[in-house]
Amino acid sequence: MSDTTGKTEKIKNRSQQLQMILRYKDVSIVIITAVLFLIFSLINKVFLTKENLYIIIKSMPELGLVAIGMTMLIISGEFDLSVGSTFAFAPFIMTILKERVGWSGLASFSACILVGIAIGCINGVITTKIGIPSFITTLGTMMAWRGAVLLVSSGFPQVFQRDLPIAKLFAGSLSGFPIQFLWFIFFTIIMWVILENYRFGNWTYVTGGNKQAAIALGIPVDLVKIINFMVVGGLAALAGAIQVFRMGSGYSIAGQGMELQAIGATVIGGTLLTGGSGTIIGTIMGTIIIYSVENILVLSRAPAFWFRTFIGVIIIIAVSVHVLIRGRKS
Amino acid sequence: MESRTETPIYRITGISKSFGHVEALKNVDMSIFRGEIIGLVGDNGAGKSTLIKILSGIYTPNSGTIEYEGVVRKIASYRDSQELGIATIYQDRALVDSVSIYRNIFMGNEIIKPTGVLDKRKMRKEANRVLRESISIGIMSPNQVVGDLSGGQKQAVAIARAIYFRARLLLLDEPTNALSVRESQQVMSFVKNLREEGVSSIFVTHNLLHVYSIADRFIILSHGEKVGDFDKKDITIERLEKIIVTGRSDVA
Repeated sequence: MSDTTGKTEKIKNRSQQLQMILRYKDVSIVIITAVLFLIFSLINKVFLTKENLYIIIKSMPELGLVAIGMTMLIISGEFDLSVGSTFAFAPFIMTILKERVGWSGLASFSACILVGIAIGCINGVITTKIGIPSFITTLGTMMAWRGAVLLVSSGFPQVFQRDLPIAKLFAGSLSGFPIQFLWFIFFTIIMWVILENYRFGNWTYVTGGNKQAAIALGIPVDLVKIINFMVVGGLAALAGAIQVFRMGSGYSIAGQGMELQAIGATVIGGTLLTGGSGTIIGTIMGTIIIYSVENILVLSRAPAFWFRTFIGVIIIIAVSVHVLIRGRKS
Repeated sequence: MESRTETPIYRITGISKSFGHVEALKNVDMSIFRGEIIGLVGDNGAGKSTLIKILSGIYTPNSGTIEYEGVVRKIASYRDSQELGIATIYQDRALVDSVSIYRNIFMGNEIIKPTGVLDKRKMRKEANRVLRESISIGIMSPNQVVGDLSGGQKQAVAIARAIYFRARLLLLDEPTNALSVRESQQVMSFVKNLREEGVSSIFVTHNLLHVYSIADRFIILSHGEKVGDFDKKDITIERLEKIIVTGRSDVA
C-alpha cells in the first residue's frame, strides 16, 4: 500500500506545516507590526524617538482597552457597536456625579464602571434572551446612549478635577511613564490569561465557534456572551474615564467612531468576525498599528483625512494575509 | 433477541411520541445489550431520528419507560442522557472547527488544577492517549485544529470524546453520510473496536451495506412502529431491504 503510506505522509507533512503556522499565528502579526515600524522609521526619523513613542503609548490604552474587550466578545460570536457611546456616556455620568452632585472621586469612578457594566449587561440580555443580532441591539444602544449623553451635557463639556488621587492612579505618570499604559498591560494580561488558561476562556471560544455543540455539552452560552458584553462595557467605561482624567473634562462626542476602530484593531490582529477564533496579542498589535499609522500621518503632516483611508486599506491587507496564512477553506 | 439470559443495559418499553396529529413512534420496545451494535433501519419518516432524540434527551416521550441496568430512569435533557452513559455522535454539530482537538474533547468538561487554572498538559496527554489507544487514529497532535481534519477524523474525535467520558452507548445518526468510502470504513472500524471494549452502539443509516457489515442485530421501524427485530444470523440483507420497503416482517 505505497499509495496509502504516501498519502499519509503527505497529510502528516501538511498538518505539521499547518500546526507550525498556527502555533506561530501571533508571530505573523508581530512581524507585520515590526515591518511597519521599520518602514515608518525610514519615512520619518522622528518616529522611533523616545518622545514620539511616548505620545503613542500615552494615547493608545484608550482604544486598546476597548479593543481587548471587543476581541473577547467577537470570539464569543457577538460584537458591540455601542462601545463609543459607552465610552462617552459612563464617564460623563462620573463627571456629573463628581462635579455637580458632589460625590467623591472614587465613588463617581466606581459608578462610571458600574454604568459601563450595566450597559453591557443590557446589550447582552437583549441579544441573547430576545434573540436579535447583536448588530441590531448595539446599533440601537449606540444611538440611545449617544443621545442620552448629548441630552445631559447639552453638548457642552463637563470639567473634571484632574489632580484627584483617582485620576492620578489611572492617568498619572510613574517617573515619567504614563500609568494608563501599565493598566492597559495589566488588563491585557488578565484577559489573555482568562482566555487561554481558564474554563471561561475555553467556553468563550467554543460558544463562538459552534454554539449548538457548546449547548449540547452543557455550556451556558447565553451567560458566556452576557459576561463578555459586560466585560466590553466595563472596559469601555474605564477607557472613557482614563480619557476624562487625561483631558480634565468629559465630552459628549468622545469615542465617536471608536467602535469601528476597535473592531478594526481586532480583525487586523487576526480575530475572525464569525467567532471562535482570535487572540489578545493579535489585537494589541492591531491597536499598535492603528496608532502608529495615525502618528506617522501626523508626523508627515499629511492631511488628517488620510487616516481613515490608510486604516481601511490596512484592514483589508491584514485580513487577506491572515486568510492566506490560514489557507482558504471551502 | 429476547431469548437472551443476561439483562440488557438499556431497555425501553412502550415508547410513544406524537407531534400534533402525527404519531412519530407507536409503542416501541427495544433492548440494548452490552457490546452489541444495533442497526436501526427504516425508510424516511419511520421514526429512527425521533427514537435517537428521545434517547439523547432532546425529545421527551409521551408515554413509555426507559430502564438503565434494570432501574427506570428519566431522560429529560442532554445531561441526563450523558449521565446514563449515552453519547450522541452527530455528523457536524458536535465539534468546534476553530479550536484544537484537545479543547474539543474536554469542552464543557475541562480538567482544572486546584487553583482553577486549566490543566492543559494533562488534557493534551489524555487526548493523545484516548485518540491512540481507543480509536487508534493517525492524528498528529492534540493541538491540531479540528477544522483541518477530514470528516472521518472528526467523527473519530467525537467518538473519542464519548469514550473518554465513559459512554456505554453511542448513538450514531448517519455517521457515514458525506464521508468517502475510506473514511466510512475507518468510522465503522472504530465502532467495531469499541464493541470489544463493551461499548454498545446504535447505528442509524440509509446505507444498508454499511450497517449490514457491522451490526449484530437489526431493529426495523416503519411508520413509527417496530416491525422487526432480528439477529444478523437470522436475516439476509435482501430480506432486510424487503421488510424496510414493505413495512411487514412476514414477507419471505
